[in-house]
Amino acid sequence: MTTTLAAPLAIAAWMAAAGAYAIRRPRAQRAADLLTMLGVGVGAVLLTWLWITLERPPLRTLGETRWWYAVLVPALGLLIGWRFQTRALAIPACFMGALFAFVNLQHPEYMDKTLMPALQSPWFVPHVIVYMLAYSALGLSCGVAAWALARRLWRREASVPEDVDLPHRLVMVGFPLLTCGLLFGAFWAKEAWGHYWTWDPKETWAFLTWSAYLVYLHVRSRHALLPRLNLTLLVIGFAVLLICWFGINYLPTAAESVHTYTRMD
Amino acid sequence: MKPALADRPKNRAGSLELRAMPRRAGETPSAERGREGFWEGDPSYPQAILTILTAMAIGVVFHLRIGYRFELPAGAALIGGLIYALIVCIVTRRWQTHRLVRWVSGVPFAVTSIVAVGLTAGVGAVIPSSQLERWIGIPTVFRSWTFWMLILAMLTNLLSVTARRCLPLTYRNFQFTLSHLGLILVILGGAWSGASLERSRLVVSLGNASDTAQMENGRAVTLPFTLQLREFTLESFPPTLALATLDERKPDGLAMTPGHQFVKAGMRERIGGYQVEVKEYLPRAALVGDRWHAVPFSTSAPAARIAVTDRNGALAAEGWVSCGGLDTDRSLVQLSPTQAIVMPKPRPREYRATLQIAQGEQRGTQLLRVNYPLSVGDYRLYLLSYDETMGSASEYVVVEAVRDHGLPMVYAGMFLLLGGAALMLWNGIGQPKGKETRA
Repeated sequence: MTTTLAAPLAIAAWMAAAGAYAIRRPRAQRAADLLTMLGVGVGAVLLTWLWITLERPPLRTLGETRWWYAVLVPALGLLIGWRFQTRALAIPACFMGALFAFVNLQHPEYMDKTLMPALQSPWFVPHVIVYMLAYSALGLSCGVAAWALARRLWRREASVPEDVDLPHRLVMVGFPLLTCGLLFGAFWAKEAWGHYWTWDPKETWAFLTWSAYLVYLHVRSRHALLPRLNLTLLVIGFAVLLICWFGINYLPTAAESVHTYTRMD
Repeated sequence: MKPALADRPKNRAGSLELRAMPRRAGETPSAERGREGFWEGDPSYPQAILTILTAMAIGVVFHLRIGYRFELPAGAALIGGLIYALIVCIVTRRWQTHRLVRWVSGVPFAVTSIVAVGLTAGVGAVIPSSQLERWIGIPTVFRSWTFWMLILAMLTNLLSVTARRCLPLTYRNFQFTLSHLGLILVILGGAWSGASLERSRLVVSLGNASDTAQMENGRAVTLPFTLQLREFTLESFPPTLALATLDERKPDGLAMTPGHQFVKAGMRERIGGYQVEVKEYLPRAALVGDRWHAVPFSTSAPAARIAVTDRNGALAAEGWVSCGGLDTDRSLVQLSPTQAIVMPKPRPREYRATLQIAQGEQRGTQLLRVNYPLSVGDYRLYLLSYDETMGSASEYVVVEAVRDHGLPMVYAGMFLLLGGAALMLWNGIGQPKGKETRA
């Protein structure tokens, strides 16, 4: 019940904020900031409520991680926007938050209180939250990169190196968090299953995601003057990330993975 | 304005020359490049691609000649790896301005090797092992010679660039060195682990001390200690209810619509269009005649008396539902010829085993839980499973004994990587405020 109340409220707040950000006036921008914060606050209350009522961290199912993502993206958009003195993230962040909240409304996954023994680990919360933060930063990076590519394509202009500046900064935040998430997962796997890395399909996709951004960072370090290549790599990187997050459930290797509890089985 | 990608100069291999940075000392001017042979001048992406393809081809030859089930002695793997690392580092430091050394440690080689490793790993991430074995005769690409040749190429690049950049150790080089050295240690330690790892499983029973475990390949090993199960405890979550519908399209002929509330007296839940109310709940019950009674035995089953109403509020059925246990059959409440309310088996919350561990003259009792392994000498013990048909009355547990000499090196690498990531994050967040970037 709380979900069906909180989600529309958060979606409305973020959509209104996106509209207000589009009006490039100081008062509208301040109102948009407040609306974004309202949506984030409502989402945070929802997550807290879930944590209390489920009597476990709401980080187990795909639906639960989507909520974290929906809340963290606008929150990160605001924080990083303030830090980097830019509002370029504001509209994509609000749209992404609203989109993921909307998907959760359309597919309200059943959330029970059970938590399998392997998930009852001190590594569970840091591993998933760090990953969600990384996904949020890299999702924003992809959003800004895709927007820059689309805008240039629409206007039939060549991309310029400045187009990559903001998405690159987001990768500089997201990639280290992605590394931490990967390593936390390895430490946890060692404690739970006896080995830190077994090339399980989910682990392999996590490695592929990390590799995709590694390729981007190397290409960027050498070919900073090829913005279209850099922007395209960011979009590809996020596509790989999405497969790792939930696309893997639709692959033939999903049945071989021990990490299938993100599905609502 | 930069020229469009298609207008950029091409080298003799016909590939796009992606280099956009100013020419560095020792590099050949681009005008002269057109007259050079493939390996003359400054090698770049085409040469890296050729090298990587050659490494893969060598891997295929090894696979055909040796097969994939090879076992490298752990000591040889470690010493060989260290000698190789030393040679690469010495060569790099001695001839660091040489164009080939610069190329091996450069971005084109790094990008090509990462992409090749990624593509190969991608095969393993998409194709199930059974299919892979049918197609190419190996169940996993990660044990193939080809994959390890690619890892070797990537390692060579990492070693070379780290040897080049680690000195002088400035702040910028420090972050670079942390990340790259960390990855080197993870790869070398992982290779050592792969050669030395000993993972074996043993069934630890009540009343019987055992020291014989079985490796993954079926080989029996004798552990330097014995294990005996003293006590096994299983705690389960309370049960839930579900609507089962006959459906021939499903593999087991049943479509399940799960409820998500734990069963307790007074619980109401809508499941698949039916309103279910729990009138009475017995966590431990046994069927006596046609009625369930509370019993104190751990082998009993949970049971609930429920009333089910349909969409119109009319009573559809009433009765006892249970998942069944060792002493009793399962029970369901039939709603129609094709539908029934059932109680799936409760999920385990936690299971733990009290083990008696004897090593030589020493004898002790320790508790083993999932996520909390025990250390015995060189080994770490993990609780894997129990007899699920017996549930809390299980008389044995399956324990995995792991010995991994490469672990300290891998962990050292991981901590360096964490350090590098922390510095990268600090630098990423701490960048000076940039110009407004338009959305």
